[in-house]
Amino acid sequence: MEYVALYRRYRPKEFREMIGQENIVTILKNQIIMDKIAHAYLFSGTRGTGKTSAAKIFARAVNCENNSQGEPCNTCESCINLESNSVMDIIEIDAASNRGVDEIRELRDKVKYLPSMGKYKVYIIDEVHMLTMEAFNALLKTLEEPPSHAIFILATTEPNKLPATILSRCQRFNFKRISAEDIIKQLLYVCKDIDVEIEDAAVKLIAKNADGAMRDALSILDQCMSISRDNIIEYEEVKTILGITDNQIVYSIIEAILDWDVKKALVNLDIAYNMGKEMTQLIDQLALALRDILIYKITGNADLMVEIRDEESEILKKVQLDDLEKISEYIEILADRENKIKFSSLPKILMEVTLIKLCTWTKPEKAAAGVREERGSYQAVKKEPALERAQILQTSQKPSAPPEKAAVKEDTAEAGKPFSWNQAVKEISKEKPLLGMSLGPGKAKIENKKILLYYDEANKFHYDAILKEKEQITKIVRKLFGDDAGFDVKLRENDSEFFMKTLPLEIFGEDKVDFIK
Amino acid sequence: MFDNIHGNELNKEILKNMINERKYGHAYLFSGPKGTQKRKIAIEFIKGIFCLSEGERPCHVCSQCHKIESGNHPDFHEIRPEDENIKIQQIRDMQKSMMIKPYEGDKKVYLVNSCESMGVPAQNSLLKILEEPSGSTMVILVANSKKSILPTILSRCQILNFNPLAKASFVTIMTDEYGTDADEADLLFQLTQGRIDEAGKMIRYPEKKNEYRIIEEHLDLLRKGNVEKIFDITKMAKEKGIDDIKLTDYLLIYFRNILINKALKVENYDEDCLTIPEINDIIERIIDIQSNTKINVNMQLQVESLLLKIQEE
Repeated sequence: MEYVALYRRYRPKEFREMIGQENIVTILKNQIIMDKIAHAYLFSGTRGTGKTSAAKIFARAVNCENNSQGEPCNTCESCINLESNSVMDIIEIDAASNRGVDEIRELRDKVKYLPSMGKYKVYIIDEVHMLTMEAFNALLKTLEEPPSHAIFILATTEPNKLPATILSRCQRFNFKRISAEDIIKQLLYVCKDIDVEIEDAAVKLIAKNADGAMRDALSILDQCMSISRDNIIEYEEVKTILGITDNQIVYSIIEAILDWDVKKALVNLDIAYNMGKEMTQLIDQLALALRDILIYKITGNADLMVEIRDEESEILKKVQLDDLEKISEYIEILADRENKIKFSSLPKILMEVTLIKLCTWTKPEKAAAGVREERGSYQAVKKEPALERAQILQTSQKPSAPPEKAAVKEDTAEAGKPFSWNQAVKEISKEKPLLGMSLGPGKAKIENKKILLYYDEANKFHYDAILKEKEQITKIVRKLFGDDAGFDVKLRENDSEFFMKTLPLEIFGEDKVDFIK
Repeated sequence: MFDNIHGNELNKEILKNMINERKYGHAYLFSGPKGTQKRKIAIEFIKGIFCLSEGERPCHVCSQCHKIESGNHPDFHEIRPEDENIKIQQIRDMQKSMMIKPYEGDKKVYLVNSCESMGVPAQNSLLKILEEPSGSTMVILVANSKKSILPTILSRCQILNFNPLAKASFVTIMTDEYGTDADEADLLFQLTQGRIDEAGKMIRYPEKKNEYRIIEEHLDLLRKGNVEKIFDITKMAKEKGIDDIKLTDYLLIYFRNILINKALKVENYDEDCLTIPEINDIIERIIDIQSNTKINVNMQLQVESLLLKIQEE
């Protein structure tokens, strides 16, 4: 296969070809020029920033016979031999596959032998974060005082995984992300070199998506070349390769969410889906765009935006300052769903459901009012099943709370607005906080303007407290709901007894319940 | 070359171009949800690489094509998860075998399936061979999701994203090839999310498809207040061997349909007493249950309690 991927073909061979790491390169070069080479280096930084390349160049430069200004000449015997891997003086170890203590022991045994032709024997240990703890410790002594001809270069993306004892023995160089401008410059250079034209917008898009990694940028470029039939790489082509939804769709969906327009949101989702959009990516973009809105509204600084690039965008105008809380709520929902979509077998359906949830999120109160109305007519049907449920619970001997809760709901609905138990609890808590606390564990039931409060055996303490203050509470209740309101408190003797006898009677009335032996 | 494979036109074209120009990269990642025929396309692509034919490749008749089809080409290696995961030892073995020169031609191809099942150590041990494989070796990774693959691997591969079929083309294929009517195709699309293979299977074995229909009926009754149906549903699921995830998927589809009809205010859809926030609640619960299956809770109980809750709403 004569074709070599771009990032391999354009791997820097000299320090001056390294991009975006000027200060590190200067230090390394100076060390070579002044012959002050340390015995252990640690190169860390994100992917595609040039750690392995720098290590390889450095290894050649220290051995080069006629190096000039710290650069390897790449023409002398030593450089050529090292480049073609025919000499054993540069030993590149893949620490991720050879991560055990045995491999390190082997290395330690061999370190003492002199280099075969150059001055130094260079060990490049790549992906060093994957070594096991034992292996790291086996390396310590060698790393501290290696023979004078040995140099260790450790390279890793995750220096935080190395033990402190390793870190303190190395000169540490942190490779920073390559800036977008540098990436653009290099991409343009590569394109010129391989005779491909590329649109300005396309270069920018690649640079943005490379996320500071040169290798990513060149990989994307490689892929774009494989779909472009002519020799011109267009913005659209890059977009299809990256699978980026047209920002317009993301905007439209957000607009729809802000407008509570379910239909528009779903239509746009369909478009995105048909364009081959990954749902996880879409949800990411939505969250990012919302984050942008949030940040822009708070800071007014357009530079901090990631997803929305247009300061004049309609969405930004649409959002008021008092919507911000709502938007952070949206982001939270999206973040939560993102995790679940990843593992779901029906990502699109989950996405639809999520969008509808967002679109309807702000209207719960209105909707709730709707339920209440419908409930009234629905009750007749509903009571029977509730009865069956009570019987089922008897047989399964599994006490649980739901039945009473339902009862409270229904009764409050019947009694209308003024009779809200929660409101009463609030009032009481205001006057007597301790008493309010004791009211909490009780299960309330309202019937004919009389409030009945039930306590479990376990909450007997609270029951006693309430019992003592019963008069007081009755007064407050009367104040709130009128003079004919009543209050009583009861201790539930035994759960199963309660569910079998007391509760059904109280819910449905004595005339409707018949116990079958 | 990809005659029998529907969808993912862009990817097919990229691969075709590469085969025609014989310009291959050294590392690819095919990523996309289950059932998007990633492996099938990968095999076709590999055949195209090895094929001896002068005309269109793959020819499906030459010895190379046959060997790959039957899985005994000496220079084509396929790695599958052992037990559940791909182990680091498998990757090490793969590295070792990469050192050996190809037996027949001048290239070697490794196809690694289910990459999302690789642990972090295994993924890391792939890094160096992905970056600079020896000689003319190519590695094709196949994964269900990019999310669980290390960024350092992603940056070393050319990534092809695979998508399920869009609804329109799915329906056309269904009606053209299987002669299903529009309603049926719509249901199949929902159940399979555009995975045409699975849809084909469902048509051949209609029980699968009917499962949903039955559950739908039961749920309708349940919503009208028929509590016993709850236990019918779980019992039936057990008898028919519908697994738990599938069952919750059905529930999700069902409530999603209600939700959409409700939210879009479709006419003649007033029999319902559930409100949008309530449905949202239910769906939230279904999703929770789905993530709970990972920690081995008793699914039957979970589903039953969910249905009880739904009935109550």
